[in-house]
Amino acid sequence: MYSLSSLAFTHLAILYVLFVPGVLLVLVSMRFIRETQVLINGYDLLIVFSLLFSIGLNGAIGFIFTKFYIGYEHYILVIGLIDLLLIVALLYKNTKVRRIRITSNTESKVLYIFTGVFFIIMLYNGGLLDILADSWWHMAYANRIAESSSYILDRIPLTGEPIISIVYAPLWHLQLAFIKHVSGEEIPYIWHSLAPWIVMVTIFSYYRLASVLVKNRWTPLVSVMLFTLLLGGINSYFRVSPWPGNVSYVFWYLLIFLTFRYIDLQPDQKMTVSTVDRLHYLISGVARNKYLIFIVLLSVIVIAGVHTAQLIWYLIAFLGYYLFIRHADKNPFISQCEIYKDYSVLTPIIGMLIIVLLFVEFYLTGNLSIKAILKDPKNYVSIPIMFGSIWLLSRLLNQTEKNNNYYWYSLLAIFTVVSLYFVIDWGHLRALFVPSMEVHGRLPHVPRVYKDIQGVTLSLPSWSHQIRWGLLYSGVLAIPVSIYLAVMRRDRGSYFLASGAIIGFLGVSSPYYYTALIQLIPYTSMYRIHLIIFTPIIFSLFFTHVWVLIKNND
Amino acid sequence: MIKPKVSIELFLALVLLVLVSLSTLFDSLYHFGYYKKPVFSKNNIPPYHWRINYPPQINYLKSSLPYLNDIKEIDSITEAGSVFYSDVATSYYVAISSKLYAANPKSNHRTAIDRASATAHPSLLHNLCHGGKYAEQYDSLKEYFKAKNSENVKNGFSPIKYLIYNKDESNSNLRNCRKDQYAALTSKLEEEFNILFKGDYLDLYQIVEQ
Repeated sequence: MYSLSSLAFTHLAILYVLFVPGVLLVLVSMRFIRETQVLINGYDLLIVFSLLFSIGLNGAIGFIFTKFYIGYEHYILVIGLIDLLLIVALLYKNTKVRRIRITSNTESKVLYIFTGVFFIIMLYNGGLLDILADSWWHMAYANRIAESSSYILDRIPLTGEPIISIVYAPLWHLQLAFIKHVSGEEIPYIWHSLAPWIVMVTIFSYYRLASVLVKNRWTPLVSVMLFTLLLGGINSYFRVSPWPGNVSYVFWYLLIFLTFRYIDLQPDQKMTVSTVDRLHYLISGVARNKYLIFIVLLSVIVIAGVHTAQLIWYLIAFLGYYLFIRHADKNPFISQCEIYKDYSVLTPIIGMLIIVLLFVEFYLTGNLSIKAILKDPKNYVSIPIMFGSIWLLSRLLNQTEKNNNYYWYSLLAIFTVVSLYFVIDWGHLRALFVPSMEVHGRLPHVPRVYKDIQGVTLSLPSWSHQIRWGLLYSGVLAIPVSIYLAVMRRDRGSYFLASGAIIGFLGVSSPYYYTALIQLIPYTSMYRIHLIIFTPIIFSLFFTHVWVLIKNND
Repeated sequence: MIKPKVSIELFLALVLLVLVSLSTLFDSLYHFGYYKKPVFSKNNIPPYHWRINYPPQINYLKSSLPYLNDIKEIDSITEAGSVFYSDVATSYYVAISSKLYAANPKSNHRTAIDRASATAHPSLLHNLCHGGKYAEQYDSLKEYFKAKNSENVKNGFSPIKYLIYNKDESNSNLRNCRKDQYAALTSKLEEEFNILFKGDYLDLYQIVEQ
């Protein structure tokens, strides 16, 4: 059976590589930067930031080592020296903040106990699977990086064919290589032992995501509990947590949390503010929240280095939310200025993000894929239909019979429902529930070809590749529940969750949505759009809503 | 007129509440070991989700961990960076903890034109147990690998130098021979190739002379 000493060394090495440098960096920043006192308001966030800082720092060390041909076996010494310097900085007395304060309320304490119990469960569930999954490819990659002391390999990691390039975003594999050198243990031991650590940070990060969407004491905690209990998509596969994609979810949740946190820290704005004023707000906001912006940028870099696709889900989730609150000014029921502010602050952010993405693409490839997208005739159908139906849904969600003509409202509702009838492929949707009806692509992960009534060739994903497990039945149920919540509550949380649920669901059930969205990412990965259906948060918010409803009905 | 006691909103909420609670309950029961597969599952879910009663020894027995000592030995007596042939699972297990490269990974881990496509059939060892289907067109296994290696060299790839046979019977990922077939297979392998190492689980054969 397992060698206990090997397991012990591996766990110590994980702490040494992935947490100690980060904890010290965060604590030092808390002594020198006053802004951190407001931002880091719990041990859970301290730990999430620690992992982020550690991965970032290790990435920088890996870059320098590779560039100057320094063997990775020297990492243990270099990081030890850095830790020592950070401890000295921590003991330095003449700093802006005399004493670091991190408070814990009752729900935080319950979260820590719950996570502790879950940590123990994951210790023996472990990260090694009993099947021959792709994790073994990732382990081979990490092993070659450790062996060659370089993340730029000259041979394909598993088969050894000659190549001189980066074969996969290497930041996470680099961490594994360092852990291997520190522990002296083989990669499978490390992979097995990583599961409880990554699950712990994932739970903390998810808690923060829920807390920024649902500003209520206990609902985020219920979200986290449901997150561990519900059988969802790949982000709920806790035994797969050492995989790069699953590690990147930690920072994906964090990035959404930080974006809303940034918006919360901005002064209130009305939707009628001019574009120039919005830009002014953005620049002054960035200047006021430098530390937060730094963490945002670091999260983006780490996600790009660990599993770049996560940035696409971030962009789609926010773009969807932005489009859904586009008509919020038409809705007299939205009394909270929260949504107005979200819209106002997000306008320049989304504009800037799109410009930056285009710039980065042009800089890296010397080309803009938008040109190819505009040349492809199928996009003339899929993209307008996708944006058109989102526009209709947004109008309908924000239009009520009370603030407008009843006939106009009914007409809009009928038109939206009819449009959705034609947007969704019902045969494909039926196959979600009846697998024998499914038309398969060449391989489970390869989308199948679909021809619409005009004969335009579009694509649809195969349900059997993770999506069915992610949607049946909690995921499917989350769609009507999220719409119910958006109609009844009309606040940030319910709108963000509903927009994600609707776009996530249409993304896998409508050929127009799927074809339009695969322009953003290699088409075999787009099925993961169902990840933006945040089922545990939707359910927990629903439980809270019903609880309040029953109490008020008494 | 009788005024309804429950509002439409509350009624709708209660209907959804029942469905959401049932869905949550049945998903939870899977985690707590009451069902081997989720109650409403339309297909078997691979073991990606945590389970309260998950036996950790399964991870151990179906991974490379039992073979680490053998792999260490093999790594010390083989030429670093050379290529070996084995069953699909052992190809990963050895490549992850040694300086050797695998000629026989899963199909989705092969490149478009690579050594693996020019080499032996993925199930060669398994098929050899059942009559040597993929070797019979050649006089011997040695001839078979010789032909495959000449293809490799022609395509600019390094030849396959070693063959590793994993005789573990408890790991279902291997899909190797049964115990009664093992003796016949090993005698055939030993007849044709030099045996370099015989471990608790792994046997190493030399295909190409140094």
